[in-house]
This record gives sequence, structure tokens and C-alpha cells, in this order.
Amino acid sequence: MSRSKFRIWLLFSLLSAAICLASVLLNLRQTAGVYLAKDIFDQVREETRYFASDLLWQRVDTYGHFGEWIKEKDGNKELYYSVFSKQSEVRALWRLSVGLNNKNISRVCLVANALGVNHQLFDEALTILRGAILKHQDHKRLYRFYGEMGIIYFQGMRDPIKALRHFKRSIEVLRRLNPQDYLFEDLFNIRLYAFSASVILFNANQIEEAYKYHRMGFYEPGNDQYNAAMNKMLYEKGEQQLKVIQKQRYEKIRKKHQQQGHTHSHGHGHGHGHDHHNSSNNTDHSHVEEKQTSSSAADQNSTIQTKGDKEILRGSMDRSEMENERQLMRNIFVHMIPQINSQFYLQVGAASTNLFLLLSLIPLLYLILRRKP
Amino acid sequence: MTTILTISRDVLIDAKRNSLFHITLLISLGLVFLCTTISILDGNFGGKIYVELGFTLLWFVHFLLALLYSTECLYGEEERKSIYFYLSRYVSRQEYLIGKYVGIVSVLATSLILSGLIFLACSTYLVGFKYQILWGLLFIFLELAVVCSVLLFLSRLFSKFLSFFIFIFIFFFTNFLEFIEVGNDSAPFVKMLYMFLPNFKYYDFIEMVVHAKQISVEYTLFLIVYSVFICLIMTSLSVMQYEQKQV
Repeated sequence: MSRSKFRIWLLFSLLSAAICLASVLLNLRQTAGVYLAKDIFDQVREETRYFASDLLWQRVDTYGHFGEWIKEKDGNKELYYSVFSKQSEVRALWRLSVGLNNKNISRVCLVANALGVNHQLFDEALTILRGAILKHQDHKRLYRFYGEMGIIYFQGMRDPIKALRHFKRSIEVLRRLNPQDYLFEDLFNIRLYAFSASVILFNANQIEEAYKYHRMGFYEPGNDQYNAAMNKMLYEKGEQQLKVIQKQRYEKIRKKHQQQGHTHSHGHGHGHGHDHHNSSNNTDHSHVEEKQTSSSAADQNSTIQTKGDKEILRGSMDRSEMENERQLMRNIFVHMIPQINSQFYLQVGAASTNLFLLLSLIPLLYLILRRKP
Repeated sequence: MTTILTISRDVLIDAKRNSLFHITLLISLGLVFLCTTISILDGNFGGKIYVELGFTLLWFVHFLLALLYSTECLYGEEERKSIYFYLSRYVSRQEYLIGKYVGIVSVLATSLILSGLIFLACSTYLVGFKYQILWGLLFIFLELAVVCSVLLFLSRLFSKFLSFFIFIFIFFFTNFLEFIEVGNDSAPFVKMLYMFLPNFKYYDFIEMVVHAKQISVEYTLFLIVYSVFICLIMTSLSVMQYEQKQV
């Protein structure tokens, strides 16, 4: 390249870089209200940290679901299990991602819960939550941190006294959040924390107090004894109508949540206790309980519901559609074949391979048969 | 055929003298060793994270090498006028282009095999032998072959810088196409149009290499056929274009 051409390119590149930098600075001033060079630098550093954290979080899902595989044979079927509690690599990603940004409450809670309940790393889990509480004292969803601490004490460390203290604190700080602003995730977690508190109180024979939390927990059922005691209280107080209304409210928000495309039933609000399971012959991917916990009992309802919806959907499929879905699931869970936008490109498969093979003949014949100049 | 092989051998000999090739190879090996050292020192970077990180670095370095070396090799000869050395010796333009292409791909394969074997040795030491890595190296090679063929075609149409940026655009565009939606009416037409354009989304194989229970034979076959198809299309288009061009 000649010297003058190089200069033009250099000038053009510098000009583009200057325009980009100026627009970033202006954008920062307008959105974040930062003017001083130091503040701008801090803001950029923070945004970079958040970006890196998000990037790492994207990997979390893959590492969480596709970790150590266990293969079992059941007749002529091959069953593959991905055991969530054995994903040692995912821990590094959790630590890095949450370490870079502990502002995202859902992520912090998921990480702490998985570390505490699934991986039995109680100290680390509690330290993460305590750190987040100290840093985000004014957060309107602070109740999640206390609630998760309660879950770790209750399900992981089996310390109901400390667990109850944290559940109570969680319900206390929940008042900061306007009920109008409740998301499905909030309702789900309130149900979980209140139900856990209710079970602890019931076990301590404080039925009246247990019922109070049972009501807060959208009348979540437990074991037979618990249900009998709570139903008795319900009839004594004459709150049958209230129960129906509360259940309807919960279902309404859950359905709205599902309609918005959040079909991943255990989501990342609460993935604990679940293991990923996939069969190579029958790829209806279901979840296997590693241990039955009260949280997973609460979670189970939504899982069953989603499964029910899926079964209805499957009932309406013909044979070829079912075959296709089975193949698709196998491609995703066993082979992890990349998903391609089928509107633009052909999907990975035997038919596409044959087509490309056939089309290859055109340029090949052109190159072989064309006359030499 | 002999001419093509002679030209490709010349490219290989030239690579031995090229500092860009040596530097990239050194960087590639250095990064593999650095990655291994970090993994030994910090448990957080062990296991599958090591495999993913190492594999990504291997891919990235060779992708850059493919980009830089191809442009250097394809445009360099025209700038130095050494292209006339071949064209004045009864070498057809088709033979010249194919020879160059085969040569560039061989250079990349050499670097990939060297770095890949080192990476395989390190990963075997750290996490045990993973046959998926060998498949992964094949997938990287196929992607590099496609990258070179696209650059070969672009080099017959545009200047060095323009080719470079157009290629980068194609690479990112095809990777982000999945987020675009078109109406059902125009979808078949769009699909036909895009069938002949390289789609780098197909080469999104790192997750498969790291996490998959089994490497899919279906995917491997598809990728080989698709890569051959794109390479042939791009090479024949380059030949077609080069025949028309005055040098």
C-alpha cells in the first residue's frame, strides 16, 4: 500500500474512533449524569464489569445443564443424567460472574442457593448473601437475600431456628416492595419462604403462627399432618373463600408469566434439587429429584403443570412431528448441534447434507470441465 | 495437478520464511501453555473450562492467522509483481488460484496440527484424553478452509482493506442472522438466496466439543459436505472472476 493511501486510512480510522469515543462520552453524560473524568472512568469500569459478568452468566446455563454425564441402560434405552450437584466447573463461573456483579438479585440468590443446598458449601453461600445484603441495604427486593439464607439454613444446614429467624426477617423487609409490583418470581419466592417458615413453626407445634405463614404462602400444601392441621385452622377462621382468591391470583400471574414465554419451569428462580435427565431413545426431557425438599415440593407443582401442558401439546402431534421433536431434543441434549435460524439456512441433517453434496457437483464440474485458456 | 502442487509447495516454503506465520504459531503455543499454567495454578480454570478456554484460543489465533496470512499471500504477490513469475510460465489462472488456496490451507493445517497436538498433550495431562478435541481440530480446519475460500473470492473483487472488512461483516452477519425474522411468504426465497452464502453459524462447535456426550456423525458429515460445497463455490467464482480480470 502506498504511503498516501495509508495516511488516508489512518486519518479515516482516527476520525471514526474519535466519533465513537465522543458519542460514548455524550451518552454517559446523558444516561448516568457523569461529567468528571474520574467518574466517567469509574462508570466505564463498572459497565465493563457488568458486561463481563453477563458474558460469564451466559455460560452458566450450559455448564449447569451439561456437566458430568451419567449413562444408564434401561432395557434397550440409554438414559443420560446430568447431575447438577456434580458440576464442579460451574462453580468457577458462578463465583466469577457474581463477583463481578452482585447487583442482580436473582443471580446472587441462585448461586448462593446452589452452592449452599446442592454443593453443600454453606460458608461460601452465606458469605455471598451477607456481602450482597451489606452492599444493597436499600434494595426493594432485599427479602430475597434473607429468604435464601433461611433456605440454606433450613435445607442445607438443617438449622430450623436460624432458618426461621431469616424467614421472618425476609417477610419483614418484604414490606418495602409494593404488592402491585410483584412479579411471578416474587410470588414464587414468597410462597417458598413463607411455606418453609410455616413448616418449621408447625414442627415446633406453634400451629397458630404456622397458619399465619401458611396463608402468606398461598396455602401451599405439605405432608398429611400439616395439611390436616392447616385445613382445620382454615375452617375455624372461615377463610375458604380467601384461599380460593389467593390461589386464583397466584395462578393468574403464573399463567401470565408462562404466556410471556417463561416456560422453563424451574427457571433460575429455583433450580435446586433438580438434575438434568435425558434419554437417548425417549427424549421427553424430565427432571429427576436428587433429594425431595420442601422447596422442590413447592417447585414441583409448577413443573407438573408445565409437563401437563406439554403432554397436551404432544397429544396433538402426529407420528412424524413426534419423531422430529425427539430428534431435535437428542440433537440439543446429547450432541449439542448448533441451532440455526431455519428461515435463512437449512438445518443440520441428512437431507441438507445430500442437497449440498448434490449442489457441490456444479462448481466441481465447472472446475474440471472448463477449457484451459 | 502438478502445477497446483508446485504452487502450493511454494506457498508452504514461503510460509517458512514468513515472520507472521512464526509469530502466530509462537503466540498460539504460548497461549496454550499459559492457559495450562493458569489451570494448574488456579482450580477455577480447570476441567471443562480449561478445554473451552484453550480451544477458543486455538480457534481465535488460527482464525486471525487465516485472515492475515490469506490477505498477505493473495495480495502480496500482486503488489510485488511476482505473480508474473507463474503466469508467464504457462500456468493458467485457475491453477494459480487453486494452488495458492491449497498452499494457504496447508500452512494453516500445519500450524493447527502443531498447536493442536500440544493442546491435546496438555489437556490429556490435565483432564485426561478427550477424543472430542481431535474432532474439534477437524472442525476448526474446515472453518479455516471456508474462511480462506471466502477471502480468495473477495480478493478477486475488492482491495485488501475492503476485502478484510467485508469478510468481517459476513462473519458477524451470518452469526447474528438467528435474531432476524422474515415473513413466512418470503422465507423460501430468502433460504434459496442464502444457500450459496457462507454461514459461519454452522461452525458453532465449541459447545459440542466441550459438553456433548457424543460427537454427532450427522453433524460431522454435514459440516464436511457444507465446507466442501462453499469452498468449491467460492473457488469457482474466484476463477470465473479472475479470468475476466486484467492483471
